[in-house]
Amino acid sequence: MNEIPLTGRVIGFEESENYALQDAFGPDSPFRLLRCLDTGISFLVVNPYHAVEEYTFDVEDDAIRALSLTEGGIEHLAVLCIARREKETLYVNLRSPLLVNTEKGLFMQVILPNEGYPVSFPVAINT
Amino acid sequence: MLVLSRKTHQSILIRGKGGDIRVVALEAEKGRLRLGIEAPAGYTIIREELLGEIRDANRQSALEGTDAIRKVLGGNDE
Repeated sequence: MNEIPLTGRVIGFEESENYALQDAFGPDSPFRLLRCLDTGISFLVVNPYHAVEEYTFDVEDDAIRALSLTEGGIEHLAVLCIARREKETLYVNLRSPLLVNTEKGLFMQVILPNEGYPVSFPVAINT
Repeated sequence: MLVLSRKTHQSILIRGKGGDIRVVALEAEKGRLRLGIEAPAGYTIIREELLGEIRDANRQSALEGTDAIRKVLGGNDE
C-alpha cells in the first residue's frame, strides 16, 4: 500500500496536523484513506470526479502560497473530498475540498464560495 | 462587539493592511437583512453556519477504530 505523509489541518480537528494519505483501496480506486497519525482517526476521501462530472473553482493565491505550490508545481496539486458512508449512500463534501501538494506533503481544507456545491452531496454506491 | 446603525445603501468600511472590507446595507425587510460585501483577495465570505455545517460533516465522517475503517474498506470492494 502506497502512503504519502501529509501535514495540514481538517476543519474541526485543528489540534492535529500529521496525516498519511494511503491508497488503501488500490492505486486505481478514486478513494483514499486520510489517516491522522496524532489521533488514529481516519477520513475516507474521494476524487470529486467520482461524484460530479464537472467540478471547478478558483484556487486563491493564499492557498497556493500556504501549500508552497510554485508555478511549475501546479501539477502536484491534487483535490480530494471527505466522504462519509451511510448504508448504500456516500455523502461527499464538495463545498470544502482538501487541496493537496503531493510533492511537498502539504494539504489544507478550503471553503468554496460557490453555494452550488453542497457539504453533503449524495452519491449512490454500486450504481 | 461594535454596534452601528445604518440606513439602506449606506455602508461601513473595515480598514486593514491588506485593504478595505466594505459592507453595504442593501435592504431590511421582515427580519431579513440583505448585505453587500466587498473584500480584497484572500478573504472568503461565508455564512457563519456554513463553518458549523462543515465541522459537523467532518466529525460525522471521522472513522474511529479499525472496525469502522474495515467496514468502509470492505464496502467498496467491487
